[in-house]
Amino acid sequence: MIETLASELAAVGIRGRQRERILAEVADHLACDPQADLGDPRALAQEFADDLAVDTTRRAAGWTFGALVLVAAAVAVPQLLSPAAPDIAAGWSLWLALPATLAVVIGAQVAFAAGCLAGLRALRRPQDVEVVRRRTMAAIGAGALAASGSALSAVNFWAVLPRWWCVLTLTAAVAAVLPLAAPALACLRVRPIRVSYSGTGGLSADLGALARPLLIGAGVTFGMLALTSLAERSLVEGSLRAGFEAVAFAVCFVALRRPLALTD
Amino acid sequence: MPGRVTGYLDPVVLAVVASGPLHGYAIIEELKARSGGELDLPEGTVYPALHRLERRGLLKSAWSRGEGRRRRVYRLTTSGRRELEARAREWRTFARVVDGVLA
Repeated sequence: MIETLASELAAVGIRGRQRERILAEVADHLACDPQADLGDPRALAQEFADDLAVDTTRRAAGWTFGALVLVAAAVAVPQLLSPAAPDIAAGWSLWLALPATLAVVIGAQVAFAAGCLAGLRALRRPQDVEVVRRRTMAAIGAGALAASGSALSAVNFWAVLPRWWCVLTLTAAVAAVLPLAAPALACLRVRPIRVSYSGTGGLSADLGALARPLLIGAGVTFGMLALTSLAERSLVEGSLRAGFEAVAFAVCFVALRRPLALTD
Repeated sequence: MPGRVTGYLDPVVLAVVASGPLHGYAIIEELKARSGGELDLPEGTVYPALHRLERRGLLKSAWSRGEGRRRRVYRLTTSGRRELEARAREWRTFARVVDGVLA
């Protein structure tokens, strides 16, 4: 029993201390009662693997959502406190300014979408381990990208904006990335575990009848048009940013279709 | 009746551990004794439940030595006690309602 269970646990991806602990407990059980009915070793190993994968990914999705709130604050608060809004070309180099801006704008939106979708699936269908894990990893990557963009922006405007603002922005970005490490490690640890079932349903499994990418894209674009036109008091500026948003949404949808399990 | 207890395995295990720290084999024996032998489920299924309950913070465990072997001893946490009370209330309500319908 012990040898068979050991190889079955290895086959489902449970190794190291976790496997040693299970085997020690089963060995103790069999020493107490050599005739004990512990069931089929393969089914037992699979049950351990399924439980471990579901619990770990669900917790990682929750942690990620919380950590992304910190990233959002770390990116948004320095922007709100910025004593001036310098021209994008006023910093050290446009080669820093452009990637920094893109990283913040796209990273923040992808992190928000992926984090929400990961949390939604983890709540509604936690047994879809692979979908929850992929979405969580995408959210973590995008969150780190947004924080990196904010840090890069501080470096770019080092000579233009007050020193306190640059230090605050850099410190907040670095501090916000650290909590993302724990769920990232959890997702990496759970990756080799083979679960008996993992659904792959797309957006329709999360949003039901609302799972219409064109409708969502149109809503996001229109929202951007309205908000930026009002904020900038210019329909031209609003239209430009909404056009960029529409293109970015389409590109991200195509690029992230698989990692985020957006389609069935 | 192994099949019927599956959905209630977690609170049943919590209830057994609530009486004091126990290792896996002792938990299963206590489970059998309290149920008069009716809960004769495959003993292996209790171990994934113990690990799951520990990951959720409802149990905590530590190695100890017993009869010359290493054994994992489980005890209930404060969250575990709260969870047990909630599930027991839920079960009593369910049982009362079904009893009322069947009577």
